[in-house]
Amino acid sequence: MSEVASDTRTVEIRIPSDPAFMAVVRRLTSAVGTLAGLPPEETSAVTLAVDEACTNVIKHAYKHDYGQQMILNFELKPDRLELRLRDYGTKCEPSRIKGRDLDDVRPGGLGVHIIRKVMDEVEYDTGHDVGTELRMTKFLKAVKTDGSDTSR
Amino acid sequence: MEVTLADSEGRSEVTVSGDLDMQSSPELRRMLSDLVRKNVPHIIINLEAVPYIDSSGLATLVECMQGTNRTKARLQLIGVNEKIWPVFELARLHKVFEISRDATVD
Repeated sequence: MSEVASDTRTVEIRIPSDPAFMAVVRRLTSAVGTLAGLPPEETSAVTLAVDEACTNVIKHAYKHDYGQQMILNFELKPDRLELRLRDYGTKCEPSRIKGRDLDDVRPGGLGVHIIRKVMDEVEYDTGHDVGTELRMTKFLKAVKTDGSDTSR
Repeated sequence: MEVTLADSEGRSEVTVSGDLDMQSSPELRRMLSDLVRKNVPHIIINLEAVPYIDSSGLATLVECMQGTNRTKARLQLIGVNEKIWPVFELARLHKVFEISRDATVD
């Protein structure tokens, strides 16, 4: 057995593309966010962003076909939480994904804005034969021994 | 999620409890569309017992606001608690709605 513990811990689930399961996604993300060391307000925001990412897959990749699957993977690293959401539906076109202008008040288009606002890095990988992989990163703020935040 | 409706003297108060998300928002959307269609002059949505809202929930409220703008009705969001207020701020909708963080109606 190796004496050197890995500095990455992984959690992965396969979820039906059904809105009824988003409560499960939220509970898991909230628990993982806390384990990763995110403060409560950032855990809530990341939970919302992951929920938005999953519902976007249901709406756009699977076009409300609730019988499909997606895989959500979390990697907890010392300085960040990395998330990957893999779907096997219609490939997204990253150039066409943009959050809407918030001054234009109308329903819809808020999900992408929320994801980009909450996460530090957002990348769509369309290089797979089928579907899309969304990669998102949230960096942990370093906390000095006196308890104050330091910029990363 | 549960939605209840109470009517009194030209105003309708819709009280929502539970998560307002992609799964539950269609039910609220139907109720609000109905109130807009009936030209209710004052719609109050009480969100005090909503611990979570996502963009589907926000979209439902924005859709209702567009309807009340057309019918010149008043739309008030009340009880926007500390759990969901940050989501309104994130979407910059806290300045768009007539909104209060406590659940009292003026």
